[in-house]
Amino acid sequence: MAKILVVDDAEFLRVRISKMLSSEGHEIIEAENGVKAVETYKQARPDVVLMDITMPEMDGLTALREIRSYDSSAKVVMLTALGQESVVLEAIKAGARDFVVKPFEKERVLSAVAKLVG
Amino acid sequence: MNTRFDITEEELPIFRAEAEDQLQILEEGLVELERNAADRDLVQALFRAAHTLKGSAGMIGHKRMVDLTHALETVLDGVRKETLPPSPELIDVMLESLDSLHQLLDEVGNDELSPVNVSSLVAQLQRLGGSQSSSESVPKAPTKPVEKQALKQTITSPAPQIAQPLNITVKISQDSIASAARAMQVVLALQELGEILELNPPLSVIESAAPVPTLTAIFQAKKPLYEIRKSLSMISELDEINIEGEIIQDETQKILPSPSSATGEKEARRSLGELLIEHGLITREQLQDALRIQQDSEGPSKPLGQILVGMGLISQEILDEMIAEQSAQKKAPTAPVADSETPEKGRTKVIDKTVRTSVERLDNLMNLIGELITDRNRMYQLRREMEALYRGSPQVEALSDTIIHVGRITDLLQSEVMSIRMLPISNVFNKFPRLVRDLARKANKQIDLVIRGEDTELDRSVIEVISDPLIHLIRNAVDHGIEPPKERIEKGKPERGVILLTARHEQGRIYITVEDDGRGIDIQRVKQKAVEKGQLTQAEADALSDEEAVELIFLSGLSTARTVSDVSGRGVGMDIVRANIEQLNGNIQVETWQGKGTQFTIILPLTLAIVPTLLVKVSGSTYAIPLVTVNETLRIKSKDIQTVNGRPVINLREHVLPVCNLAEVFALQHHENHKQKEGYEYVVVVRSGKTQLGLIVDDLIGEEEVVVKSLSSVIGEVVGISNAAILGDGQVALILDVQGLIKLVTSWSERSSRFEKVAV
Repeated sequence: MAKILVVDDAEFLRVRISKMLSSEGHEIIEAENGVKAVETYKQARPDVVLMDITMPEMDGLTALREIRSYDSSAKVVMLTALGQESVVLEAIKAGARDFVVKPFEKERVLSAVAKLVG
Repeated sequence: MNTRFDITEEELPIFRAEAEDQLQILEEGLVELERNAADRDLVQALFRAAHTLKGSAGMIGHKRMVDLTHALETVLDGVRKETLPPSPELIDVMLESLDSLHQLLDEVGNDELSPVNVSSLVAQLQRLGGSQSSSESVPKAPTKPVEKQALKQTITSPAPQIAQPLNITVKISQDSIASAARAMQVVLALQELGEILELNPPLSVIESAAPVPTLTAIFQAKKPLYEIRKSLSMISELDEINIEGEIIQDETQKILPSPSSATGEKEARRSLGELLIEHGLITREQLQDALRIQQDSEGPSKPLGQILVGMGLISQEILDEMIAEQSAQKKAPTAPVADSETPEKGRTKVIDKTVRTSVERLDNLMNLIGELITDRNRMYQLRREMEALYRGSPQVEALSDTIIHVGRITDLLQSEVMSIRMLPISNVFNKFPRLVRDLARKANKQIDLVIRGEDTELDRSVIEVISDPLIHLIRNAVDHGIEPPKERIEKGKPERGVILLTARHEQGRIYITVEDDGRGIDIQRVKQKAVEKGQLTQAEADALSDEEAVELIFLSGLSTARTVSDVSGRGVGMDIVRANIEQLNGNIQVETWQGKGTQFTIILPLTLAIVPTLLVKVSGSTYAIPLVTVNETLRIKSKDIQTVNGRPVINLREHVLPVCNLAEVFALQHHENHKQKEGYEYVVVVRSGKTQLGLIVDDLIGEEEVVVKSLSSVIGEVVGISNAAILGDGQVALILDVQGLIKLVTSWSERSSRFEKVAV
């Protein structure tokens, strides 16, 4: 089972996603902003990162770039919302492996993770 | 629990608390934005708050909340991009939206539908925002109709190296919010595997983030076909992947052809086939063909995988990988499990080291502590008696030490529980920026609210009741205190008025001030009004000093505002404010400076449940006087009590202080005690606002923290008495209502007497 870093500034979202994933036996670590996400990534080396785009301190796109420059094989899935088309596009260009749109369903999150932890 | 929303009981408090935080950020920020539209960080924070709120609301399926936050987010996006100035009208509608969001938030958990007209607010936001929606108005990408090729059954063709360019078409799900990003994923995946010779829509269109329903590419592959298929199948939200006319449908629509027999081996075979289709490695038709070959073959049937390899559809390597995945999936079925039934493994990591508890529990705890304090006081009393009786007995000494220890622990327990119940006053203060903003806008004034000491903590019980008096004082400051901008400029003041709201701890009490830099209280008008209302004679009014006269605003029915505005003047006067505060065993004082401003100071105890008091004896009964009202205690000669205008007074440092004998007030039997025989009296000087009164008592017992027990539910309101308390010796003491007493006593007296200065 995979180690997954969940990054979102909303605790509720983190709890919700963590619950979805831990029910599948994944190990979850959390971070509440981009800065923490990059730090945590370097320390814990998760298999997959699920990361919000709009966050204080450091946004998801910047964090994605930092994580990818530290580890070019990092598997990052962006958590996005309607209206963020161009940011998502940027994220994909910056190496995000997938994106999931809020409000997301459990199956969608699980399948995004499953695709990356083959 | 909840039926309308997708949220569990444990999630609810997190969701609510967080949503309330976001709403608070929005409310404070919007008020700030109006003054400071250029603050980019602020706008960014506002946008983020709306965005986060929308995300969370979406997760629980609160559609109305999503719609409204989305509209709000869109407007804030416009502000952020500086295409939309935050006009006061726009801020009005946004603030109104926040009010509605509060109501919508309340729906979560109580399941009642709030009467919020979301569509009207959304329409208003769109109108004021010039309906500039960030996402919907993007032009559609030009799409060339894709040439539909007939389904070819390419059973025999796939060579590892493909020389011919491939014609690749992908259909991106209509549900995708960022089809361009999916298209970009396809492009990036293909670039890894070969060379894109032609792309439609071109890269520039994809990069503009315009929707891309279909993407076609002429592709020179450098990797085998199955790798291309596999790579593309990893991309989400692709409805169809068509390579050289093959159609691989999205996994979500997988329906398998059911073979006639259902043996275990067939099941397994089917699973492998399914897996291969899922991964886009073979088509359904190819699987059918392979199954047919398998069934038709003579002798022991060959495994399906081998047949597929033999057909050149997949490599041995891929087959091994798929078989490995197949067995992994068997071990870990991914059948969806209802959230509520999911064992909470791994959840412990998420929980921080705090515990949520209900307010009732805290109240219960505080009640129990109250009982404990009563017992502690009783034990102290007994200890003193025991020590007097059995001085030197080792058992009594040991008991005495234990009692002291229990007493100390009780104190610690009390302060711990008190601290749990403490909340920062920002809980009250943080709604005032919005209040001031709205009030000022209505009154056509320009006012800045400055808040200091919002971290000051006070007991929940105080927080709950302090809000209304503060709102009243702030309303008054906006409506009567601060002048209109024109008047301020004429007076040489800054155009914008300031209301300063502060809170601080001092000597175990809380000081809250509301100060404005407005016109000050017009003392002459206050006097005049009091005379008009028949509360004073002209002569009495003339005799008042300014300091004394300003106290008149706390009398009922005195409002000096010339017009009753929408803001204040709702029939609730300063008398009610004072009464409310004194009910909390607090005190309110006013200072005013003509033309410069007014300051109200509210002094409150840290908690309402336990009150530090001075215990006094009157006619054999014990009374408790809240320490917050006690100025000093005196011991005077009986003959120093003089009579002015028929009322007893004493001369206290060259001021006349009216006094009253508590025994007379409560019509008690007057006990002649030894002190009176000696010709001495004890006087407790108490105050309400700036009015002082001397209470003549028989004896002073000492200070004691008493636990307040409400009387009103038992015997109704009693003038001069607020509550009761149980003392250490088990006696019941009545807690004095000092404000009531002062009113009572002064209503007997001729009013002017208490204000007269004595020239000595």
